[in-house]
Order: sequence, then structure tokens, then C-alpha cells
Amino acid sequence: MFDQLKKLFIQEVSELLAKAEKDLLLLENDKTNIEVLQDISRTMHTIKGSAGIYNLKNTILISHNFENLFVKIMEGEISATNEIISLALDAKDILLRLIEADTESEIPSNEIETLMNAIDKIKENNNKSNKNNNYTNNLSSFYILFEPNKDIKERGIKIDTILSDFNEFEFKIVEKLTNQDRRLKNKHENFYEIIVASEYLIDELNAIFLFVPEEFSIKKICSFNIFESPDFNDFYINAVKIIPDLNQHFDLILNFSKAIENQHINIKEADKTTEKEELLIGADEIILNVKKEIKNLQYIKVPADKLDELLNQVSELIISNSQLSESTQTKNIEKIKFLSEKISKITNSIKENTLNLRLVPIKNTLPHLRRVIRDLSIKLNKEVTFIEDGVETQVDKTIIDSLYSPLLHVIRNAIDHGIEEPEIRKEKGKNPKGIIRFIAYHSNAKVIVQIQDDGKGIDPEMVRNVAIKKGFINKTDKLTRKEIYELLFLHGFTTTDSITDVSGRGVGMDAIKKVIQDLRGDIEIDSEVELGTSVTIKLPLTLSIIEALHVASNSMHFLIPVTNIEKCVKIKHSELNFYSGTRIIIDGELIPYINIKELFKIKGARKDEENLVIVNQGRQKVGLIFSDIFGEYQAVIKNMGSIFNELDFFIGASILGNGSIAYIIDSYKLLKRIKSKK
Amino acid sequence: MLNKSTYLFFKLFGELFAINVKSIVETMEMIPLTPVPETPDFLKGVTIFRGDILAVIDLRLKFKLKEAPKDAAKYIIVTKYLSNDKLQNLGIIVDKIVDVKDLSELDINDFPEIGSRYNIEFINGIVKLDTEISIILNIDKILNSVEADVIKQSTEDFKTLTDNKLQNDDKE
Repeated sequence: MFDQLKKLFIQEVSELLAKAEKDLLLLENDKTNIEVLQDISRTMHTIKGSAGIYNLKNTILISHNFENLFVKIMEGEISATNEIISLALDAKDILLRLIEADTESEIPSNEIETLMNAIDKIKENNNKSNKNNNYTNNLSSFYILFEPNKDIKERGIKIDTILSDFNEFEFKIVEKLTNQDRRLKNKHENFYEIIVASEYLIDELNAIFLFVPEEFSIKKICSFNIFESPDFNDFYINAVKIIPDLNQHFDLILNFSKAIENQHINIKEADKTTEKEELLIGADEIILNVKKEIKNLQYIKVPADKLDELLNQVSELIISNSQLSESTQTKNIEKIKFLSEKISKITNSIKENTLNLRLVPIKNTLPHLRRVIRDLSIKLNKEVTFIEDGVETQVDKTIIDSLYSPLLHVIRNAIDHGIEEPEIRKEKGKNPKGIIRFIAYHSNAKVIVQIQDDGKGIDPEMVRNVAIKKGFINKTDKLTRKEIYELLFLHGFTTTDSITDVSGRGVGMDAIKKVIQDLRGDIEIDSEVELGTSVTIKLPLTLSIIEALHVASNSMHFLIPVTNIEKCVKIKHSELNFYSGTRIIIDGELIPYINIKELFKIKGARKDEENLVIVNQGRQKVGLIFSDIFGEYQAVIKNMGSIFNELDFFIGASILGNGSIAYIIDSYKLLKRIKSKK
Repeated sequence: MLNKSTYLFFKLFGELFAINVKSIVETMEMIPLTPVPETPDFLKGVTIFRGDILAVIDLRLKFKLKEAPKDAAKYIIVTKYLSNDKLQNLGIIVDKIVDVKDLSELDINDFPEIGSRYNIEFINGIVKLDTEISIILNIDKILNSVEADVIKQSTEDFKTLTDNKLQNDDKE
């Protein structure tokens, strides 16, 4: 139960944080936009409230302080600077880690302190320039908990009289709290939390409670006036008071005081650490952080009308179904025919709608990409404009989730290796600000995502030379442009070797290609020297339905994804007997083949004429022999369960129209597996 | 009070066995199965169960007993187990479903290790009924061992296959 709530909480807050991040990036370009400022402070406020429920002290502390900061900016007291925005972005990252961690203590407290120091410094600087602080240093702050017993009145002691002693203090909070349960423990239902700053020592404060020595406690918070921080009152009311567990109040206040203290002592030191830490975070870490964020988005928001429509269709189906069973009793054939057609229509539209539920616009990926581009371009000292096109294009949720990491790496390559430094761009006569363009659209039941940059491009000759040097191709090989850029995806052919001297970072293009292939998609590179590079990713619309060719080997049925099929040929047995029965010549090409009947030891008579399905994996072609070909089939992919995990040459299984089961062949894995076992 | 659990009793090769009902989803009469290539013999095939693919094993073969005659009446017990924290279903073929009874922990005795023709790991204990004795099976152990067997089998099959069939590739 709690886990479920916590998940929802994480989901909610990560959405809020993503929104805040977007707003902050907006603010960077429009620093006085009141609406955006309002949004940010409101978001922080909501996070603070939610965190209160879970008693996440540090989350409360950070969100509270940033809410305050942005309120001040809104009121014109402080002006928004890039420094503040960067700080807020850091805060956002830390907040995300805080809420995702099992306990807050997983996040090193020095990171939080650094952050708090930095924010206090901003406020401090502002205070200094605007007005004089009116606090005195010889005050100390105390935390008092006064819990009178139930019989306090009978003993002739007035609570009010005791509390009135605090009237003389200039800096104080006297908060009356009530809890009826206390009566059970022989305590008065009212009790008091008092925070004062005074010149007195603890002993002198003790004197106030002279007649109730057993019913109060005093703890020293710090040796200065905690009320010097104009935020303390707010902090108390919004962050401390809402936590039901009294034991934690003092700790919270103590933390707050420490933050102020550090601000006095360590301003310079804190400055240094922030700088150093910032340098330590390399480009890869930025990507890593973003990736971590993405992992947790496992809910889909569905518009209510989509669900309503689905519900309507289901009720229609139920009605038709009961009509059908009625008709079967009366044996009204015409009616049955009509109804079965109607039911199949409804089922189809339910299928479509259900699949649609999983579709989300691709723009959901963009906030993270924008952030990476911003952070990376600052880090690598490049100027980049990000242009987005077709962001409403709908893609399956699973695909979007797995698409992040390839996109991030492609974009990183574009900034790191593609876009030149501003000075160099000027020399070349280009606009010093480089352009990275993100384009998404649907084409032919596929989703196309393109990342284009206007950088220096990839020289095909250079790629060719590296490939020859590394032994991937021979000097005499004639390759088309397309084939040359294909080489970039080979394992061991890292962009590092071929494009720049920057070394030892990141994942090669082969890894990206693997991710895309696992999604049953494809990736291509095209480039013009000095004009830029374009990476095109093609993906299926959804992962749960596949367009496949229905084939069979005797009684066993299979489906082969049509994207892998090059051609189908009828073939006589007599033609298969060359080259020890492992090769066949088709269109002048020598192609290895496997008879599925032998491979899977399927029983049944051998036919005279069989079907050869030629599947295509990159540059390699392989023939698979089946006894029958039935035609194309839209297969819904069913997972076969963990027991068949090892049979990875089956993507899954599907239920055919007649209710029997067919296995969906992953020809790539099938070939890989046969080869690896040699 | 003592803990009581409900057990499902079934016959296999004339002997009485029992499984705790907490790992049972459903029982049904035998239905035609689709064989799966590259899997051990005892994995008889797959079928569709509640819209999903269900693998079905023959418990006789898993226990290395003689397979039942083709026309014999058979039943499938659909069981559930945890594999990598995910709930999985697996059907097991038995000869006959007999009864459902409550047993207390005291009724269950240790299984004598000596002279057993069954793998002792798969057995939780033995229980004396009015006229018969019944073996209580540790269904989780059995199901997890099935999973391991399937993995082993498919790996080996490919080895032999590639040895015979595609060694010519190397020569080129």
C-alpha cells in the first residue's frame, strides 16, 4: 500500500520537477516573465507540501528555500540571474534524487549543504546591497517544548501567565498545538512549541518554568539569532509545523540554523567547492543523471475521453455478445452472421483504441534533451540552437522510454563532434550559433526521428581510411556512400577514432544501433562535409503488433516480421543438393540456408517443392526453408513466459485466426545463435 | 492452533500425490498442445490460457516415469510460481484429479530418503490417509527446475545441431 503511494508521489513530484526544469529554461531567455516565476514558486510549494506528508526533511528544506527565492524574484527584491537559474537546476536534480532514494540519507548531506549555502549567499548578497541587517550577534536561539500535565489548572498554575513571560522577547515564535490523544497520557491537550532568541542563558529561561519543572524542555539551537533569517518564520510555519512528529522539529530547525551559520563562515569556501564540483561533472554524468530520471516514468496519462470511448465499445461488445447467444438458441442464422460481423468490427476498434492508449507524443522526451543540450553546450563551450519539429508525433510508450538513451548519445555526438566552436564557425562563414534540429514524423506505419546538425560533417574518405586501417574493409572494396556510413555502426569502430581526438568517452554507435534493432527499428547516418550530419532513426509504431509473413513447416506455424524479408522463392528439392546442402544460388548470389524442419526436428513428410524465404540482416542474407507460405498476418505479440527466456530466437508467440499458436522468428538472433555455438 | 492448508490430490502412475492449493490457479481437462522446438521431452507444448501463452509439462516424464498412453484421460493443473519476481504460470499434466482436503502440519511426515525413486528435492513430505499414503510435492522446486532444464536443453540442442549442420561454414 505504502509502496503504491510512494510510487505515485515520486511520479507526481518528478512530473512537477520536469515542469520546473522547463520553466527554468524558459526563464533563462526571459528573466522577468512573471508567469513563469509564479509557476516555479507554485511548483516548489506543491513539492514542499507533498514532501511534508512523507516527512522528507531535506526535500522540504530545499523546496522551501527555492520557493522563497522565486517569490523574492517575483517581488523584484532579487533579480533572476543565470547563476540563480543554474543553481535552481542543480536543486531540481538533487530534489529528484532525494525523492527517488529509499531514504534521504542516501544523498550526501554535503551536496545539500553546498546547495543551501549557495542559495543563502544569493540572499545574503542581496540583503547587503539592499538594506542593513538588524540583528545582533550576542543573541542565542532556543527551542522550548512546554507540555503541561492535565491537572495543571487544579495545581493553580495558569498556562497563560507562564507564556506571557515571553512577551518581552523581541524574537519569538509561540505556537499553540493541540492533540486530544494527549489526555490519555495524563497531559493537557494543549501544548506549546516556543522558539526564542535571547541574551539569556538556558538557566535563566528555566526560571520561567519554575513551577512546572517536569513539564518542559529547553534545547539550544545556535549561538546567534535564528530570526535574522527573514525566512525563518515561513520555514517554521510551512515546513516544521506540518510535520506531525514532534521529535523531528528540533532537528529541522537545527539544520536550518546550520545552513545560516555556514553562510557566514564558509561563503568563500563554499564557492570553491561548487566550482570544483561543477568541473567534476562531465558530459557523461549529465547524460547519466537524465537517464536515471527517465527510468521511473512508468505511468501513462490517458485522456478521459479515450477511456470513455473504450468503455462504450466494451459495453457494445457485451450487448452484441448476449444478443448472439440469444440468436444461437433460436438458430437464426442470418442474425448470427450479422452479429458476428458486428462483433468482429467492435473487437477491431477496441484493439486499435487499446493500442492507442499506449501512444504518447514524442515531445515527452524533449525536456530532457533540451536540458542535455543546454548543459553540454555550456560545458563544451559551444553555442547551440535547438529546433523541434513534429513533436506531437505519437509513439508507443515503451519505445519512447528506450529511445532516450540513443537520442542522448546522438545529440551528444552532434554537439561534441559535429558543431564547431563559435570562433571556428565564424571563420567558416557560418552563424556562430550551431543548429541542432529534432524532427519526428510518421511515414508508412513507421515513426521517423531525425537529429540533424549543421556542423562540420563526417568525411566519407576519412571513414573509409580508418576502416581500411582497422581491417574492416579491403583497399580494393568499392563501397557506396551509404555503405561507408554503415561502417560507423560496426563494433570497434568508435566515432572517437574516426572523427575527433577526444577520447575515452561514451558509447559507440554500435551500441546505439543495437538498442534500435532491439526495438525492431533501424538507424542510418548521412552527412555532407561542412554542411552537417543527419541521423535517421526508423521505428515501428508499436511493439505489441507486428506485420509478419505466416509460414509453416509441416504442422508447426511461424511468423517472420516482414521488415526482415527480402524475397520468397519456390524451390525444388533437387535444387538444394549443391555445396553439401548448405548454399544455394539465387539471382547469382550464393546464399547459405537452413531447413527449419531439420533445425527444429519437426515431424512430417517432406514435400517435393518447398519455400525459401530469404531474410536480410544488414549485409548478410540467409535462406530459411518452410513447407508452406500462407500470406501476411498482423500478429499481436504474446510473451512466452520466463521459462522460454533462453529461446531468444523467438520474439514471442501469436495466436492465429483459427486459435492455434505460431512462433515469431527473430531471424537475426536465430542466425547469431547458430553461429555463436559453432 | 495448528496451521491448516488445503491440498489438491491427484494420481500419477497409480500413486497419489498432493500439491498445496495456494500454488494452483485452475484445473482443466487435457487439451491439444502446440509443441515448442528446442525444449526437453517433458515440455509437451504450449496452449492459450486466459489470453496468454501457457507452457505445459508432463509430470510423468519430468519424474522419468513411463509416458501415459495417448488415449488415456488426462488433466492439466495450472500452477503459478515466482521467477525473477514475476508471477509465471505453468501447466502440469497428471493422470487424474482425486480430491481436495485440508491437512494440518502435524499430518505431514518426513519423506524417507532411502529407496525413493523420486528426486528427494521435489518432495515436501508424506501423509497417511485412510487407505493410502500420498506424497506432498514441493511445486516451487519442481517448477524452477523445469525452467533450468529448458534453458540447458535449448543450449545443448543448438550445439549438436550446429556441429552437424553448419561446420561447413568454417571451411570457407
